[in-house]
Parts: sequence; structure tokens; C-alpha cells
Amino acid sequence: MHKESAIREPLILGHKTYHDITEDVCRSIEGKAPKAWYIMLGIAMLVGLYGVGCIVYLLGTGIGTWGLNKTVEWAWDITNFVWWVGIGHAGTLISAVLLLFRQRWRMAINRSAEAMTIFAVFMAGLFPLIHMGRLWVGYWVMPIPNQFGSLWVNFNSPLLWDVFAISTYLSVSLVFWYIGLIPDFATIRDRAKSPVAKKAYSLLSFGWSGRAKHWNRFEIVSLVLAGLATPLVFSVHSIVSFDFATSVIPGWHTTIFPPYFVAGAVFSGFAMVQTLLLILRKGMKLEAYIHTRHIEYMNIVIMVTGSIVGVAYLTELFISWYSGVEYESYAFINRATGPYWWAYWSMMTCNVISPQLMWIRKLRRSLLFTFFISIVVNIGMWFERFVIIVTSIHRDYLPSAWSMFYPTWVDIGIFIGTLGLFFSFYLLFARYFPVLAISEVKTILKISGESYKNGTAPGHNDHH
Amino acid sequence: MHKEVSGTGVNGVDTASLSEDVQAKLKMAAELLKKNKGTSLVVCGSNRKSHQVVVNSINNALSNYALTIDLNNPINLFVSEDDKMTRLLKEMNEKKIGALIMWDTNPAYSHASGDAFKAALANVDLTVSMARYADETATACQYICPDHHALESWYDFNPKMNHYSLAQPTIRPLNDTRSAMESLMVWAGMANHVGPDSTNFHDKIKSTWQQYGFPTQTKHLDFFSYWNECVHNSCSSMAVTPQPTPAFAGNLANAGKDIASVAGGEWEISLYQKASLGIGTQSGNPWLQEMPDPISKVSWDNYVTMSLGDMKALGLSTEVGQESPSGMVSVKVGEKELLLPVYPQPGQTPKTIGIALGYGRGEGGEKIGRSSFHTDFFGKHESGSNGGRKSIGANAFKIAANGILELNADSITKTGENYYLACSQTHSTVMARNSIVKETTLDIYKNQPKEAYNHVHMLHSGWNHDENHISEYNLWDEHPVENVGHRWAMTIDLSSCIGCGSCLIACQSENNVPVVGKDEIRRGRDMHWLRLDRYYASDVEPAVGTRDEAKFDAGGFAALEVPSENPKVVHMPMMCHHCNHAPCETVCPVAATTHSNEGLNQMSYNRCIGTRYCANNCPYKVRRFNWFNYPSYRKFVEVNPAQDDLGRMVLNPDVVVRTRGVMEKCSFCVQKIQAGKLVAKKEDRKLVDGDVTTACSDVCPTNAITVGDWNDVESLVRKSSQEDRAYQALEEVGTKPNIWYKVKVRNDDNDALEAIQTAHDSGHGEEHTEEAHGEESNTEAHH
Repeated sequence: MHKESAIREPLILGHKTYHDITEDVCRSIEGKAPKAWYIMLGIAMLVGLYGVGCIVYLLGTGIGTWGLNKTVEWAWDITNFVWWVGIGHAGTLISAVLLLFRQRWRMAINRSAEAMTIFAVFMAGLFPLIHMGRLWVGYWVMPIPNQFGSLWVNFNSPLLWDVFAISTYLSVSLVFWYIGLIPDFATIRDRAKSPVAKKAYSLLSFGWSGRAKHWNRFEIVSLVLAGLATPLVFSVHSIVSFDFATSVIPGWHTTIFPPYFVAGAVFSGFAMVQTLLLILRKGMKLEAYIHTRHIEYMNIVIMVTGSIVGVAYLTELFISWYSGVEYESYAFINRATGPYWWAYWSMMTCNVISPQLMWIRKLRRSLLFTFFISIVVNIGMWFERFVIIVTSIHRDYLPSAWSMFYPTWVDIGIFIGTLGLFFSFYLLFARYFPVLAISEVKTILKISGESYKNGTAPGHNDHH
Repeated sequence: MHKEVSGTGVNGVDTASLSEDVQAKLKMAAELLKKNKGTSLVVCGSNRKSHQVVVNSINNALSNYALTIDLNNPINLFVSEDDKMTRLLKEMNEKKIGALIMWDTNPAYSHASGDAFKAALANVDLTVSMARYADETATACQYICPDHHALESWYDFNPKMNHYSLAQPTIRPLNDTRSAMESLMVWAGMANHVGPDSTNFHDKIKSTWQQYGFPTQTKHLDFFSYWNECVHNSCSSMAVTPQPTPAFAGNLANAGKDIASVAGGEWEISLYQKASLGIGTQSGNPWLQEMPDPISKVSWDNYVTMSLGDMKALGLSTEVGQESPSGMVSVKVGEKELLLPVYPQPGQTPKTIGIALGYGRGEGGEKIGRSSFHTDFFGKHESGSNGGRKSIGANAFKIAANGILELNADSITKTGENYYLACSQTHSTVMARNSIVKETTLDIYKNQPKEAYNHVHMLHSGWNHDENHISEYNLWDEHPVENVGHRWAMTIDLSSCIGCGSCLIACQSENNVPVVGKDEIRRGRDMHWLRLDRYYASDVEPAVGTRDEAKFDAGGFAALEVPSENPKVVHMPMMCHHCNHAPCETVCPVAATTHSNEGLNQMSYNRCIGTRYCANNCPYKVRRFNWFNYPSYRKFVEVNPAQDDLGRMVLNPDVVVRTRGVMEKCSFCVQKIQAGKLVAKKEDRKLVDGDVTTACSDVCPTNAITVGDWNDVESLVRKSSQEDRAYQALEEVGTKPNIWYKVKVRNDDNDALEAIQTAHDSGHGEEHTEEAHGEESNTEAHH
């Protein structure tokens, strides 16, 4: 067995046995949910329901129920879309890229991060659907044979690439996540007492028996999917950024967008993972598995990607000046000093300055501070998309068309609604699904478990 | 001016109190006028007789009477006889009038003493109105005998001396109405009424033309061929009988006395007619209500125009925006009071205000058309102070005593209330962007090469820095539109455009463009396929679109956003440019917008799924999205004509009505192009220039818009697009539009502009060198 250096901080604190891990994770599934869970789920579902109501009103009445106008024809809809897709980035990065890089600390967080990814991509996918003027013919974006003869989709359109990118990403992430869940579902199935739960979890576990052959296939599939998912981590947000980069609008037409969007997505995705995990570990008493060291690792990712984003912002500014293009330079001057200066400076403060605080070891190991910054970062990243989308088109080429965007209650309602739906899904996940990858965490117990590393585990020496 | 031109002042007119600046400008104008004696003209902006007498006297002193003024060609429009009206009112009050029959007039609304007139109607034994609507006057009459609509009846007119025109019905009368003229004939015992198909009045017109018109010509031997030609042409001109040159016969002394007698108030008011609504006869017409004012760009409203300085002094907000409310003021003239919001108007002389006539219709709840009244957020009519529907704006005729449109206000006070104006354009200036609007002076245009006032965009490429025109660089394959088949194109002459908005309304009626109401306009969702952009010059711009670098360095972009106190103004019709490299076409995921092989950017409404990506990517921002189902959604019941059976008759059957969720835009009147092609085909000939026109080019009163086949080397549009003044807006974006604009040429002295444009002689077109040129120009300007 692989031996881990003694000076590395253990990934599992205290003394845990294999059985303890199973118990710790299954406790919440098998026991009664705490009152707080019901309250949170109630609120989240109510907010989500309100959002659904707003969506129904939107679809019944028209896009005019949003605050868009002839100049700003995308605003919160696409801002929310890109924001949610960005959040949906961390999961796959953690489970695929970190898997390939053999980062063991990912094992404690990958399950919940992937779940977050799936739900975030659900929310993201909602916006391109409902932002369509005629959702009922939205299936025309699929290159399906039709009765119109040669009528086909327009392969030049980045929006079409989006359709493929998002749907591919969602399906691969979903499969990847589900494959990982199968052995854990089987564990729950084997322990389930109520016949309903037993039936449900045995259906979910696809008849997993734990045979060596199964484990062998499981490992191979995980690796293959990780290989498949890795390029997707970079492709999705690159393609989302093409929506803007390939346009002619100053502020959108920026070749730096693909890497900048990917960094920003990882940045916001990790921030959301932090927000959720800090609550989850407390609520589900998983402090032994997800502890300061994990949080610190993620803060370092946030710091690095945040710095990349900061460099991208400055590069943008430099290029807009260096290009000598009147419209381009004005677009950026307008961002910083125009009517939406507050959005730009919110973005700058939240995304560029706040992650720099993570250089301070004390701060990046502070859970409270991390929680605060994780929320700040996601506010900043929402503003980033808002700034890119709205402040670019609200003042583009012809000043006669310049205008402002004012959200309506439907704009706001749908955004809050997706937050509600997202948290509803996540809370249900936390209650009924194993939030830690039981089988994977067990693989590192004896390498990175604290008691095994310092030799305090009973019978530890026997194993070595 | 009179003193400067003729040497003698007008008694009673105080010129000493004028500021030095004004006096200097007057002197300069007078010098120019004197230099152009006999070829100049001074026009009076006032309808006060004494002012007109003084102006006539100036023209007389300039020898314009014999040379410039052509009295053989007077226009008969807007002729009024105020004195007779005053006498009528007096006699009505004295019960001297037995019967009053009114046609095509609405004095209860449009006369300063409208209320008195209404009251006086009670003193008349028989009052009959032949109005088409139960308007303010008609509702006060005993009988309303509704006249046909103009499209339902024959008429003949005499708009200009020796020019006669004919109107023929295009539809059988829809309702139980009768031509007013036929009514008069029946009542006079000249004819018997025979129902909707009566030809009485038609026969009468015909016999009149036979009696008076036919003998004046020699072309036609029989009347029927003459009549047929007149009906076909809708007009006929008669030989001009030269009038003797009149002598100036005005009484200057009396005029001076009258001018001196005007008691000055603190504020001067100028009442004006909007290009759209005129005197409000058609206030029930939602197209006209929705048409943004050519200058202020406000639609659906009446307001006080005021200079920014005055507004600040009164403590009023000078912001114009979607969510920036305007302050209300109370304008008091004698006993009369008008409550109106204030709009900040650059160019408005301090201490003067402007108020449009034609608003405040239906204040007594008269049924004059639903769009005369305010609608709220939900599209319902707002209720006014009298419990009925709330009229749009206030009736300014009330304060125009004796019909004089220049008067003084006793006071203007802020009421403290806020009010939202709906503006279709909220940004004032073009930010000195020099490839949107181009302006020059007549001097430069005549004496300088094209590059001085109409630069082109060049790009460098390769190791050798080859310099080529921007159109040489393509990202995509070229659409094969040049020199193959037709290529529809348009030129718009900014020198000719007066911003009247006829094109906008013509486009709206031709293409079934929905009316969306005030709330939607305020939200920036006007649907006009063709809009008129209005740009003021800022202090940084000696002409709209030209930047003075020194001033820009001092003031920055903030200075560019603020219009000058008295700015130059440019109107720019803006519609789909039918780019041959259309940014909208590449981004549509379902190929709903594509390029035709005749150069048109086509919209397939049926295919559109409404992502709005195309509109975002349009540099000209001319795409219009159907935010709601305008033909059926309840918010538009009171404003959109497509919502009821009668209103739907204005829809053009050749053009589809769009549903919600799809994008639409100017189609270059593709239905008219198709019709033009069919005409040529039926006649078995090649399409010639003039076969294809668009609604906007048809109605333009100044012929600013030229449309045609660019591939036809003989076509007007081809030649027009190759003139020195022709340029393409936002050329450097590389969209290759099928629309050319033509540089606006002003006949004025503009040293600052000349310094900048003539400094650009060499190396022009290199964007990056412009800054240096700007600096040069400034030093030259000081020489």
C-alpha cells in the first residue's frame, strides 16, 4: 500500500474504521431528518415554487414580462445561465481532473460537488430554454430531419454549439456521478430495513454485488469517464464564451474569453462548493472527513483562479486601449465609469481583491472567513456576467439606441426561484443520497487517516 | 434686423436692450442678406400680424418682392379668418344666428374661446355638425350628421393656386354615413339622397370639372378622356395667370405700436404643432401618437420644452431615461392654467418654453378614438380628474388668445409631482463617432477633395503593410450579390432629411408594425422598423460626429454626452441595413434570418424561435422583438389597431402579422419589390428604375431616400451610392450594408470644423493617426 508522508496533514481526522465511515454517511439517510432540514427544504421549495410560477407567467405572457428592451435583449436570463453553468464547473473538475492528478483530498468532496454540478447545470439549462420567445418550437435547435426539406440548423451559430456543449456536459456529468453512486447505493440497500427503501435502493444500485469483476469494471469506467469529462470541463465554458467572443459587439468580441471564462467558472464553482460543504459538514457531522485542510486546498484553487480572472480583466482593459478601436475602448471606459460603474466595481472587488486575501494562511484556514468569501465570490461572478452582457450591449455602436436595463419582478423571481430549486434538489440529495463517496473514502482511510498515520489506531501496526 | 437692412428702425421696437451677442449676430445676418439682395428671403416665425408686417418690410427693403417671392404660387393650406370667427361668436351670443352647420372644424377644442363657443351654441336654433367623430364640438350640437371617411368619398381640392386635386373613394362606406357635400346638396334641394351608393356628389364634382377645368386645356378633345386622366393622376394644373408684383403696403407705424403694446411676462411661450399630431385632428390615431417627436423623441405626450438652465433654476430633474421621472409645472396665462411635465430641450432659448398644440383632446369624455387617452401599465385607460378617461397632455389652444401662438406666461411654477415621459431615444449625442453621421460645410464640400469630409476606412495587412479598403477583408465567403441579378440598395441623403417622420409612419402602415403604447415605449420597446435617430452636437463637436481633440482631452467622454446649449441637430433614418456580411445571420441557431441572392437580409418569422441573439449582434440595433402578442394581448387593446375589426382594416394584406416571440425588422418592403418585379414580368420587359420602391422612399417629401437595383448601372441608387458624399454607416465593422448615407452639407461658417477637416488632407483613413491630425487642426484653428 502507498505510504503517505508523515508531514502531510491527514485527510480523515481522529480514529475511524471502515464501519465508522459507512455509519457516518448512512446516518442521515437511515435516521430521522432534523427539524432544520425540514425548515430549509420548506423555504427552498417555496422560493422554487415562486420561481416556477414566474416561469409559467413568463411563458404564458411573453418575454416582455422581463425588463429587456430593443437594445438590451439579453440580461438576467443569460447572466443567470452563464453563472449557473460556471458553478456547474467545479464538480467535474474535482471528480475528473483531480482524479487524473491523483488528488486524494477530492474523495471527501467529489460526490457533493458533482451533485451540485448536476443541479447547477439543470438550473443553467433552464435559462436558454425559457429565454426563447417561442419555447414550443425550441426543438428546432436540434438537427433533426423535418418536413421542411433542406431546412437545417445553422452550424455557424455559437448558440447551436451551446446546445451541444451543455447537453453533452450534462449527460457525461450525470453518468459519471451516477456510476460513482452505484456501490454506495448498494451499501445503503444492504443496510436498509424498510422494504420500500430496500426496493428503491436496489433499483438505484443496478444489482451491484461487490464482486471483484464489478469493482474492476467500476474502476475502468470511472477512469474512462474521467478522461471524457476532462476536456468537457474546458469545452463547455469555452463554448459558452463563444456566444460573446464571436459577436461584433465591443466588450463581447474578445478573444481572451475562453480561458478567462473557464478560470472564472472554476473560481465560482469552487466558491459554491465551499458554501455548500461548510453547511453540509456541520449539519451532517462530517467534520472528520471535510476539515480545514480540504477547505484550504479549495481556497488555494479559488485564489489561483481568482488571480487568473483578475489578470484577464486587466488584459481586457489593456487590449481595449491598445487596439485603438474607438468602440472597444469606450466599452471598457463605460464599464468602469458609465452608468453601471457600480456593477463593474462590485465585480472587481469581489473577484479580484477578495481572493487575494487567501494568501494569508490564517484567513484561508478560517472556516467563517471562507464561508463569507465564498458568497462574495459568487456575487462577484454574477456581476461579472452581468457586466459582460449588459454593460456591453447597453451602449454599443449607435448612441441613439443606448439604453439601460431595469429588472422586473419576473426577472428577479425567476433568478431567486432557481436558487430555491437548486437548494431543494441539494437538500433532497443530502437527505437521501450518500453525500460522501463511501467506497472511495475507505480507500484512503489507512493512508491518510489521522490515527493510522500517527499510529494511534488500535491494531494499526498489525496491518503494516 | 429691420434697422440693419433698411437703415430705419421700427418705432416702438426697442433694440438697445438686446445683448451685444445678439446684436452682433443680427448685424452679420443683415450683412449677408444685403449681399444677396433679390435672392434672399426672411421668413416670419410668428403669426402675429405686426411681426409679419415688419418682416415683409425687410423683404421689401431687400428687393425680394419682385425677385424671390413668387406670388403666382400661393399655398391655400392653413388659411384662416380669425376676424370672421370672432364675429360669428359675437353674433351667436347676440342670438343673431339661426342655424350653424359645421364641417371639418372643431372650434370647441381648437379655438381659444372654445368653452365660450360651446356655451354660445345654446343660443343658436339649429346646430349641426358633420364631423366624423363625436368630437368636442359635435357633442355640443343638436345633430351630428357624420361625414364619410376620406377613403370613402369623392372630393376635390385646391391646395395651391391653379392646382387642383381629386380624391376618389377606395372603399364602399363602412358605416351609415353620408358625404357632407351630399348632405348640403340634399338640404339645398339639389339632389335626393339614395343611400351609400349615391353618386350625387361625384356627379357634382364631375360637372364642375367639366364646366371649369375641361375648357382650360387643349390636350383632350372629349371630357371623358380628360376626366379619366385627372382621376388617374389625382391632380390637374392649370395655366398660371401671372399676378402683378405687389408693392409693400404694410403700416410699419401701427405694427411698431402693436409690438410695443405686448406686455412682457417673465416667460415667453411658443405654441407649435408637432410633425405627427398637427392640431390634433387625428389624435385618435395611435400611429401618430406613438411617433416620436422629431426633436425630443418623446411619444404619446405633450410637455413643456425648456432650457436646462431654467429647469435647474426651477429645481426640475433634467434626466431623460426609462426610469427618470420628469417634474410637472403649472403654466399660467391669465386665468388659464396648463399642467404639463417638462422636457429638457437643448437649443431652447432661456426663459422661453414651447408647448405643442393638438393634445388634451376629449377632456369632456368625447368619443374621439381610444388612443387620445392615457393608458396605464396594464393597458387600461387611466381615469382623469373628471372621472372619465384621462386625456393625453393639455389643450394649449386654451391659452392662444386671438389665435396668436406667441404669448407670455404669467408664471411657471413647479407642482412637485412627478411624471414619466416615454422617450424612444434617451441619449442625446453621437459621442463624436465619425462613421455614423458625417457633416461638412458647403465650402469644404465644394473646394476640398472627398477625403476631407468623407474618409474611408483602410486596413493594413501582411509584412509589407499593404493598405486596402476594409471591404477587401472577409471572414466569410462573399454573398454573390454584386453584378448578378438584382441587388436592392438604398441611399439616404442626410442633407435632405428633415426628420419629419413620414417614412416611419409609411413603414408602419405598409408593414403592419404594431403600436405598443406609452408604457412599452418608455421601456425602450418601440417596434418601428424604421426609426429616426436624432443627434445633437456636444461642445466637443464642431459638427455632429467630428471631435475637437483639444476639447475632448479637457472634457473627456463626459463632455461628449452633454449636448451644447444651442446644438446643431442631425436626423438620421435608421433601419435594417441588409448587410451583405450580416452579423445577425451568422448567429441565428435555426437559420431564421438568411441572405437572399438579391442582397436582402430576410426574416423567416415561422422559423424564428426568439433567442434574440441576432438583435444583440446587430450593430445598428434595428431588430425588433415581439415581446408580447401585440394583436391579442390585453395590454394593447386600447392602442394597437390590430385588436379590433375596424382597426384591422389598416393592416396590409400583403404582409403577415407577427406573433409573439419572433423577431422582425425592415424587409426593404419585400412585398413591394415582388410586386414591382411582377409588373415588369407581366409587361414582358426588364425591370427599370422606379419599378421598385419602398414605402419610406415613396413618401419622403424631400426625396432623401432613393431605392433601386444597385446592379443596374444606370439606376439612380447606383449613381447616388457612388457620389463623393456617399458613405456607409459603421463601415469599419465590415458589415457591407446595402444602405449608403450621404454626408450632410451645411451652408454655414464653421471654422473649427474646417480646421479639422482640411487638416486631414494626407494619410487619411488611418484611424491611429487621427489623434495627431486633431492636434494639428487645433493649432491651425488659432492662426
